[in-house]
Amino acid sequence: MPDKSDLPQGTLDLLILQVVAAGPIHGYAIAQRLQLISRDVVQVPQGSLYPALHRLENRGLLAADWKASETGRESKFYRLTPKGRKQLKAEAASWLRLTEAIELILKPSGASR
Amino acid sequence: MSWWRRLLRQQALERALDTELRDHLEREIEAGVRAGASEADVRRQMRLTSGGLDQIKESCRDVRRPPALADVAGDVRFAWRMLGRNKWATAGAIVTLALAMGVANTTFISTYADLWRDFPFERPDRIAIMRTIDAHGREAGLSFADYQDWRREARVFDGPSAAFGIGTISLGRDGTAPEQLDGLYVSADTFSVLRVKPMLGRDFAAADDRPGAEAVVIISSNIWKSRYAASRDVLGRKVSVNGATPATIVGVMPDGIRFIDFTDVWLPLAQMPGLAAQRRDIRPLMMIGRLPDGAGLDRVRADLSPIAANLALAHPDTNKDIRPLVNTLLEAYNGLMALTSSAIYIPLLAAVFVLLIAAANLANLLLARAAYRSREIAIRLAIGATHWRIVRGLLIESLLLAAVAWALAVGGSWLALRLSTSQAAPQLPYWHLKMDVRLLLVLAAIALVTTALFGLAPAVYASRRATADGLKEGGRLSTPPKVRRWTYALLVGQFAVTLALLNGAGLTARRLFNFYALDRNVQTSDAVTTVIRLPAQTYATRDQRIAFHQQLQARLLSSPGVVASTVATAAPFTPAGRRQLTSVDGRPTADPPPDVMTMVVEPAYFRTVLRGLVLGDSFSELHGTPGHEAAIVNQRFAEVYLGAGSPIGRHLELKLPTAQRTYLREADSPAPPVSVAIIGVAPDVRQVRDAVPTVYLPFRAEAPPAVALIVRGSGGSISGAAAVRNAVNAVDPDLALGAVRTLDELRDRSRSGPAGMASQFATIGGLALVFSGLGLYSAMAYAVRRRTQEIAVRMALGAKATQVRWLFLKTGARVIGAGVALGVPAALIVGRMLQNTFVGTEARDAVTLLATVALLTIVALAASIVPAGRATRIEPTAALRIE
Repeated sequence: MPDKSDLPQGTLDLLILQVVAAGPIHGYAIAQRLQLISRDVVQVPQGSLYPALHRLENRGLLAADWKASETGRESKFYRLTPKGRKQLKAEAASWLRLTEAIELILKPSGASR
Repeated sequence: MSWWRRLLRQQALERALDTELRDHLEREIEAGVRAGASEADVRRQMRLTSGGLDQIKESCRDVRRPPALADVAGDVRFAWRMLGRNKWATAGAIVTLALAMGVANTTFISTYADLWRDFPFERPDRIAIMRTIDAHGREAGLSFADYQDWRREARVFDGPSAAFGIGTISLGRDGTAPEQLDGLYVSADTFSVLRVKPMLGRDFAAADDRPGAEAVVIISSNIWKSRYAASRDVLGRKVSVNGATPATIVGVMPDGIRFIDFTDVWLPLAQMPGLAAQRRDIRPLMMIGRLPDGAGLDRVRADLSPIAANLALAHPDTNKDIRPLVNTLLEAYNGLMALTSSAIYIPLLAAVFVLLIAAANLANLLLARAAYRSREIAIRLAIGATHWRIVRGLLIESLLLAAVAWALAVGGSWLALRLSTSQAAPQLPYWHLKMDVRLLLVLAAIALVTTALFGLAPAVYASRRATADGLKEGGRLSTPPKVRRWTYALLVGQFAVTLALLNGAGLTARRLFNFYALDRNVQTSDAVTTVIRLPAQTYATRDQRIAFHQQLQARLLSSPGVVASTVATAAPFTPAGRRQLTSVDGRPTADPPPDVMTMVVEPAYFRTVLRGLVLGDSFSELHGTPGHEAAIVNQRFAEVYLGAGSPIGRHLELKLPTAQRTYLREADSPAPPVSVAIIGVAPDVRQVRDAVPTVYLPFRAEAPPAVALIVRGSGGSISGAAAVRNAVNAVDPDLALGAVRTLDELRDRSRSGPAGMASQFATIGGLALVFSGLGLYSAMAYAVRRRTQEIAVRMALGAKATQVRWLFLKTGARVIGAGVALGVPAALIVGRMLQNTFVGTEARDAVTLLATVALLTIVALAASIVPAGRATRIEPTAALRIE
């Protein structure tokens, strides 16, 4: 099982925003979705997930509503605010640019060595 | 969302957090169980990966908690410890600040009470009061005829306008003894303009205020209680007014309504003696009216000026150049003083100065502390404290300091006010001492700004230099030269301001001493005085009045315990009348002729009240009869108007001024002799403020209806008062008497203003001196400590004690030198302000100034000699070993 510290700093916020962008979703489902999509590479423990969620809510990137879920309990559903959507776009773009660059460096195409 | 609302919502947030996390846990368990694990296993697994529920909650809370607030409690505790560690410096700072704020607060409050009194009328700032002013700037009231014209033609007022005139009104015998009271003749609408109503009975109606109307009277609740035992059937009672007119009591005013200031009896204006026949140049009335919403006094001036101009054209002999003088009632009550006039802001300025001195002292204390603290701050920075954290800590320390000092100042001045209000009966109408919230807030702001500004100094310069430097210095104290320059600049400023304040205190004290010197010419012991007002109905002629006084005199002198008795138009220490001096020895004086104080006195006045004459003889019984016109002048008069040569035998011409200054409550007197010859010179005394040129005229010439009776007993003034009441009652049982006062009482009361000013200045100046001395002392003591090693080295190398001492005395001398250089001009400015405010105060008094400079120098030298002496006792070996 990959260590959680493998996740570079700041990326958790980005991943959460990406998952929430799909529609209102509660904390547990976010963790499940991340694990599922990443094929078990990204496992976010409760102790990291919730502070991150609350931080994003505090910064106004996420908003939350309480809804009765299928289990009958009250669950907190997060959704993206317009500000969060903008942030997601900007961060995703810059992340992609960065990873492309890193890939270029790490996979030298033949002659340069 | 702001942090305080979040604090309020704390509980709701906690609940939400709990629900959310439990929801997650349940889902995890359900999923785990579905996958075949036991509930306990899932829980254990979760604790391993995420820690306990409480830990998660705490990290969620951290996200939301505003960081600044988080450790404030810890910072406050730390600040207390830091302040406590340096007990003496802290106590010094707090006491300095508290004393200065306390003095400032009480000064502001008593000045404020002087200025803005508690009026029992609705919006006194919206009531305009109208008088007149002539081309020479002389103020007067309004004649009845002018008032009628103004009232008829004025359009500006909201509702009616009204007029009133001051007079002493006596109530006759009606079961109680006849009594002289402060009275006011008011037109029917006066109380409607003021918007006050009687608490019993009715207000004056228009019908009451017509010539020939039956006399009606409204009394104050004071008189209602003292004279009529608060009886309800006082309404409808008849009482004779001014010795003749029977009047019906129709109303009683509520407590505290004594318009215009100490009035006890109100009569309709139509009852004012001589009103109908009044000439336009007799101006005893004042007019009032309400300002309409949004209108200022300018609108009133604009409305009245053309009316006055038309009257000037129609009646050029009396109304030429007579213009309306318009103020608000509030201004009029406050002696026409605005907040900008120097009488008000001299004490305020002094209080502000002392606050500045205290602030400078505090600044120096905090700056000196900054030197101690720089090392601590360097260490804290080195181990990772943020700048903001350190600044915040220092701010909290300053805040604590300011808060404690502020609380002490508020408590102290509250006590002081309680004491002063319980001691002194208010001398001014509607005078009220009370704490003012705005003032307390301003003081709190001053305290905060001062402490915060200088409390932050250590942080500022600790952060300016490299952290390593701060640590490198070892245990040695150091202040950068820049800070030291600040310290000395502040000290110089302190000494300059102190010099100005002390000099002001000296000037006011000298003025008071001047009073004392002048007052020595008056024999006050065992003397009582009262005003005798003979009603015109029963004492119409001069001879009747002379006869009355002869009988009274005989009766008094035969009473046991009475040694001497005399009569004058004004008792000592009370305002006397004035006349125009038109010519001296046949030469006209000036245009307009100067006013000189005039007193009409009996021959015995000079040996009974004064200590005899300086030159010549007193009046004889013959003087004042036709052909024997004579006058006695005082020394000041001789100096000002007679120049060299003997005053005896010189001739003067006197005339009653046309513009009567009615608010002086002058007695009206018949036409005086035109020309008089001087037969004697009296010593200078003080009627109100200072010795002014005065002419004494013989009583027999005029025998004015209102005079002061002055009676000297053989001991015990109470017997004197009883003798006066008995004698007057024996001669005329219907004659109303006012209060009988001792001359001592009059003298002390007339001194209270300057004495109060002198003591205020002395307190403030003394405080400033102590603060400056302490400030210099602590700066020098600190310098000695800072330079201990240097001195040790010097002494080890053979420096003499005197050389070491001089090292520090030199600094002290420089501070005091610069302080004096700056302070002398400041003192002259303060002196000029005092002179403008209080006639008779010298602006420049070399003796006072030199004495002040000497006192300041002595204090400064004492403050530097002690630490300098300590420097010479440093043991070089011991001092060098410390390092």
